[in-house]
Amino acid sequence: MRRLQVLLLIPVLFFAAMEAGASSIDDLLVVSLHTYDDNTNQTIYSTKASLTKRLSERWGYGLSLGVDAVSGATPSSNAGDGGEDDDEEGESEGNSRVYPSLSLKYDDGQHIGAAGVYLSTETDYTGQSLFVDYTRVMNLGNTAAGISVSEASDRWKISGLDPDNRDERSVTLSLTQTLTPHAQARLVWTNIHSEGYLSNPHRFIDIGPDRVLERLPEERNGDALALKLVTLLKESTSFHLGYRYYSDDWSISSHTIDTALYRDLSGSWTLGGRLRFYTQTDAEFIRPLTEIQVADQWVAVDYKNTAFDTYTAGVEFQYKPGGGSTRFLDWDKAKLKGGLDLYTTSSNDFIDNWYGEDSIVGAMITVSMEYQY
Amino acid sequence: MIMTRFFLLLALIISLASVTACSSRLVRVQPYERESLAQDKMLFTPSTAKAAFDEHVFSIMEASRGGEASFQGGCGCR
Repeated sequence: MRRLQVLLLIPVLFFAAMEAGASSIDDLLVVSLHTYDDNTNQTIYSTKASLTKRLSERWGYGLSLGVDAVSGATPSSNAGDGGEDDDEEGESEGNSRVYPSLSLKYDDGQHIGAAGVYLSTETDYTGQSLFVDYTRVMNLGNTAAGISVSEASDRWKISGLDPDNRDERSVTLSLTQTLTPHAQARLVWTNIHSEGYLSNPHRFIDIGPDRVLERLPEERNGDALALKLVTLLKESTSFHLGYRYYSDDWSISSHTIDTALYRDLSGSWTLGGRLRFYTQTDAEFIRPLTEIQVADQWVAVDYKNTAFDTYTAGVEFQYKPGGGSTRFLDWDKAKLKGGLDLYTTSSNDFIDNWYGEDSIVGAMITVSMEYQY
Repeated sequence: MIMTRFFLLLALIISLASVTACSSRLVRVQPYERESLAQDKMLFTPSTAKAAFDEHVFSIMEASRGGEASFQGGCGCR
């Protein structure tokens, strides 16, 4: 709590020290719909509305409200019986998440800042975070150095378990540099420190007559370093390349390569294609499912902490309707954006054990409208 | 842990000071040359709504997080 209070002071000191300049805060409304669906019967329907309102030349605020509906099956874990599949269908379970956010924004052209609060409520989980962002824009807008700090104090509310906290602090440093009139690069480093109940309370393993809940270490410290490059190949075509290396003290390390190509088809339409590859190593406490014992210090069941690869391929569109205004909307100020991504993991024994599928194959769909009112 | 944070803060201050001091010697693309860079397809995240949802799903499905400039709040699905 003391750290939260200290964090609250930062934006006050920061905004009090601001200088004069010109703002680029726009009055912007973004409404988006998202779905995720995969072969393990996990489905997410999500909708979010974000509003940015300019209050004065340099000040503004942001409001957002998101609602997720999540449904899935309750699988049967059977690794203790030797890892063989049983074909029992789990019962369907659902959850919903509501996550509002409020932030204060400042932008004078050289100093860009935001400070806000985020809440997330679910049936069995409450998330609450404070975040502060500051970006210093230099060199005629060609260089920008940013820092972002967030402090979260979340809480599990699981029936049959004592309520427990999951606290998380993240620090992000970023450096953005324009390379040419047609290319720019960004370097981002993030440190995430988590402590508390980091296990998934819904994950368990049956070992003989005993049902053992997942038990993971109560502290984790991870670093991510990412480099992004955007360049114009031709007047109508841009190329995006991103690489991220992640490493933490659970001995998980990963590499992510993300590429995308966008091409203007006309003044109104832009189409994009995307390929992403991700690979990660085992956590140090991972043991084969058949070797897990009731008395083990750590019991890891979630495939997320094991070695696997993922592949993502997608298409994306942007459409500027134009055509003047109607009574309610000025279509010249609107942009429609959307995309479809197909996602698959490599084969994994832990996925097979929990979901009864060799791998996870899913699809993500997003449709959004941005409106500068 | 305190020493780690001290060195982190020191590195941050030195980095920002260096970038600030050297920024005038870095590439200077003039404002009238930034037409291409201002296009949506040249943004690091051409669709912020899609990028935020994608990152949320990836953070649920994979062990790694971070490296994004945008804030991602906590949830029980991780």
